[in-house]
Amino acid sequence: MYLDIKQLSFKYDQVNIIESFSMSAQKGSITTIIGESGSGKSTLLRILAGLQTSQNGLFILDNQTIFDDKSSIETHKRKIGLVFQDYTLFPHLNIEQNIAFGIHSKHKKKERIKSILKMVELENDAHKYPYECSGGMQQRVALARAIANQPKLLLLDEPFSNLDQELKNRLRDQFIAWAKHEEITLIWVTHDIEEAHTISNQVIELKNKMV
Amino acid sequence: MRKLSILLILLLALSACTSVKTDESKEVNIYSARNYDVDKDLLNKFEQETGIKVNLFEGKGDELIERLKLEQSDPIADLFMTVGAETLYPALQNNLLADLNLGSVKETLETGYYGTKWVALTKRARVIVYDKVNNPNPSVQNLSDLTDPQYSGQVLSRSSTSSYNVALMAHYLQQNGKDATKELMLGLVNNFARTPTGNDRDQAKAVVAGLGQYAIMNTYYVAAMERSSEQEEVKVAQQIGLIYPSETHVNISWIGQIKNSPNPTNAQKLINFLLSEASQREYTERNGEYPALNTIPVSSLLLPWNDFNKAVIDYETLGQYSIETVQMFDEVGWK
Amino acid sequence: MFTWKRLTQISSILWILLIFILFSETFTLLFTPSNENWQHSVTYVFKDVSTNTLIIVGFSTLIAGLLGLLLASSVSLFEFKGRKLFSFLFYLPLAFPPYVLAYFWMYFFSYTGTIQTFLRQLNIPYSSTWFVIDPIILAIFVYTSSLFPYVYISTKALINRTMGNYIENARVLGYSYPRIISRLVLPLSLPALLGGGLLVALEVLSDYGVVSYLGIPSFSTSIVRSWIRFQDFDTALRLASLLMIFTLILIFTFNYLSRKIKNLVPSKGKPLIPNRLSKQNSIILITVLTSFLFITFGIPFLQLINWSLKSLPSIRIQSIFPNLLNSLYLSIGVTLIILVLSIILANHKRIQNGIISSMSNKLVLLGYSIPGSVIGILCLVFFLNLRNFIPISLNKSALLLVFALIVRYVGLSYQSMDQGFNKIGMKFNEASQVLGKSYFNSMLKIDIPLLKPALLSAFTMVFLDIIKELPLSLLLRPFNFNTLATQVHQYANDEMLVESAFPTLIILTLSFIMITILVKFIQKENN
Repeated sequence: MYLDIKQLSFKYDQVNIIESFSMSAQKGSITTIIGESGSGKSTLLRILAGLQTSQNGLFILDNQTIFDDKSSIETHKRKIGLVFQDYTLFPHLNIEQNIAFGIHSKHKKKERIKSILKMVELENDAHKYPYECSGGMQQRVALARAIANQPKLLLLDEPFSNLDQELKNRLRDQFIAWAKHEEITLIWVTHDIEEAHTISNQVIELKNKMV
Repeated sequence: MRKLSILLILLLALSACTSVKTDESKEVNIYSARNYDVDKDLLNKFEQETGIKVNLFEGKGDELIERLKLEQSDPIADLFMTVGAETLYPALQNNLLADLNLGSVKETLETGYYGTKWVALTKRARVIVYDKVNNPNPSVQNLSDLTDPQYSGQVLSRSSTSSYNVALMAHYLQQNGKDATKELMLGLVNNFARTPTGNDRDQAKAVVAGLGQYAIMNTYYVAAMERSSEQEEVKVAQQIGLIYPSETHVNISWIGQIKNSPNPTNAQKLINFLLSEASQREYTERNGEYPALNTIPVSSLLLPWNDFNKAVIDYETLGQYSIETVQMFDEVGWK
Repeated sequence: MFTWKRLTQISSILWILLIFILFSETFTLLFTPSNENWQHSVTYVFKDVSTNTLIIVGFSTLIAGLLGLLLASSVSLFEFKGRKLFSFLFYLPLAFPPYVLAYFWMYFFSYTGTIQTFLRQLNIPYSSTWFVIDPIILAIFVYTSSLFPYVYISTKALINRTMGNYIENARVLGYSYPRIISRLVLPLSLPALLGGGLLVALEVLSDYGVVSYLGIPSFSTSIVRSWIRFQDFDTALRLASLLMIFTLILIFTFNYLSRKIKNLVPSKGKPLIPNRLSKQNSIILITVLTSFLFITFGIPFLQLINWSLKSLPSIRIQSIFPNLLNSLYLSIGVTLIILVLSIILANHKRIQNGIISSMSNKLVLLGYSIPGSVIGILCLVFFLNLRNFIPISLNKSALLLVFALIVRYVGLSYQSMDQGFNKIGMKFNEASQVLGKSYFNSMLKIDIPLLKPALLSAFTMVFLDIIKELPLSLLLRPFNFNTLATQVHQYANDEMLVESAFPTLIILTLSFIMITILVKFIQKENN
């Protein structure tokens, strides 16, 4: 399997937040994880991204061991992206610079940025700063930035929860199309059960502290 | 690659801080408590005339002694010069000084103002000042007179933290013993016009302002006030009169050579330079001090050297009484 | 494995260990039997010293706090002609070295000073006893007038950032401004008042120049006095440890109070729109503010200019330029080193927020509150011992002085960087990491640019302190090394006040430039 997670556990202050979580997924697939607040969804994503460390577990991606009980690869080397719930755009960089931040190779960088800006319909706003943008715009920038980085796996933490329904649906469909185009595997956390079943190949439910 | 270059930079920075061996014959190092412009100019002149670089480190006398003690095993300074005799005793006690080789200059110096390991560069007298205009017939002659009850609220002095006051009272202690000195201190404190505040010049100004009739003051400050850039200070200097007690306390500004110092020959040359007539003239004219060479005239506001009676002070042991003096200051409440 | 993260961890721990070694000797002394000098000190000196110190620190902090609050309120709540100018001018008193103000005011009221001379010239009869000033009151005045900007700056920022809603509401409910200030602004400003107030208290505690000039027995003067006069290192260090303990208690108390009120105070609100005053009220306010500025700042400043002009022919002009260079070399170079170090330390706390890092927080601040002379002695002894193992030249390089300045002032910068890091948190750095940049790279590209305000304010505060710095510069400098501050000291100490004015003026000018850069930057950020 392209992505394999086995027996991942995480404890905080003696409390089991995640207990023996396992899943697998194919390349290019969309997995949604649902669960109530406090069930550890965000923590799970942070562990997969490398921002937090689990007590034990095995995580393999594209035939590479990301972490096991003995070692783990540093966050920035994992080629795993994460879109935060509050977008976390860099305030001191404009839209174009935010998106460019995720692009590493200089090869055809300018063209790539242009095509991404076009994809997210923000060509005319490239020089605006995050504080000048609406919620929807910021959301698009956050997603565009993540995609520009060409990660193998992209984690999304309730990416559309702050938007109204119509905008949400439009953006979501657009985004899934981009992700498919770039062949990015997605793990998507949401509390919207209907959405989860609509878009994904598999739905996993995180019950409070147990799967 | 990046890590390597940073390590290299760190090493370079560290090496910049390590000692640079320079040719011994081209330098002389001084720890000085004199801190005056005239000294800086004299040292510059020495550099120009001899080509020997002068490295100057300034500080307060006692701090410098502490520093010299700490560095004793591997001295950095060649010379130590300061403005008070109190530091002579600890310098000698801690074996910091080397024997001086004064040569012919010795004949121009007055006995009592040099020793085997030190020589006075200048002298300052501590006198009593009064207002010539409002008190034309002063009735005191000595410090002890000021303890008389009729002078209650009329005596002005600066704080006991001043090294000049410490030297003054240490001298008294050396000469007359603990009880007499304590009595003198108490008598003065009881007659203080105010809690000691300000410096020597402030005492003169306070006298002219009418806050007290008599103040204890250093002659070199009187001469300094006369040369002041401030007109009002000059007026004060001209309005005060000086009473030289029958056994006037004279403090010295002295210089000594440090034992096992790196540049002893150059140190010797510098001492002789500072005792030369040209240098001594600078001290007198620009700083208002009494010179080591008595032939040089002093400011007109001061009594000529030969016109007053100086107390005989054993400068080498004066500092022995410093600690006790300071403790007594605290005990009698001389703040 | 060598990572930058590891390097920062090791650097912070090394630094903290160093500070600990430096200071531990003093603490251990407290537990050994004392000598005769200590008994003497305790009997005759201690009560005076503690009382004086407590009174001076207490009153200076309180009055500076009150002033800071009132002035910050004036320029934030009200719109009037010249508001922006006043808002800027209230930063400036920070540029004045407190010891200069002490010299100045003693002179001003003295017999040959401005006032009495003026009265004599006009033949107005007076008695000199009218102008005798109590040194403690003068000390409080001097400290207050040069340090209130610390409270002013933090309070003003807080008021503008968080109190818009509340003040507007209160106005609608019919509260008068005095009531608004006392019932609303004051309690809501407590975090800023505490933060700024702590800085004031620490600066006063560690100052030596003012109290020694005015002849006030205080902790800092006693420490130096024991070491020098009694040649009693032992007593000096004992007094120093007591001072340190008192300081630690002070810091802990302030921190404790800050934490308690943190939840009661809003963190973000509507920006405050100042209320336009009537013409009459404007005039009153402007008059009050101008008089205040004139008294605390204008008079000394004008006199310094006057003296500078008078003294140009008699001062040693050829010293000025080299001293200026040395001052800049220290106040820019050392400040940069301190900034880097405090970033490393604050970053370490950000990654590993444990007991060690919160202890280190208090430890670095310790350096800031101890008199420079004590730090100087400790560093000197430390380096003289080090000299036996490594061939370092103490007199040909400024290493000793630079080291001591770092120990003394890193706490100040650390405070600012710590606050800055707290504000931005880890999230931006993490966002950058998941985009493929290493932690260190993320620090450089994301965190540091976002920390610009904290960096600039840390730089300014340390710059201002170092350019005025005296005791360490005097004690630990290499050969032939003078700064503007030591030159001022040389003249002032020899009672040549007029001559000390020109180098003072240069210090002030450099400080003004630095403050202007800071203020301009803050204004730009707000827009």
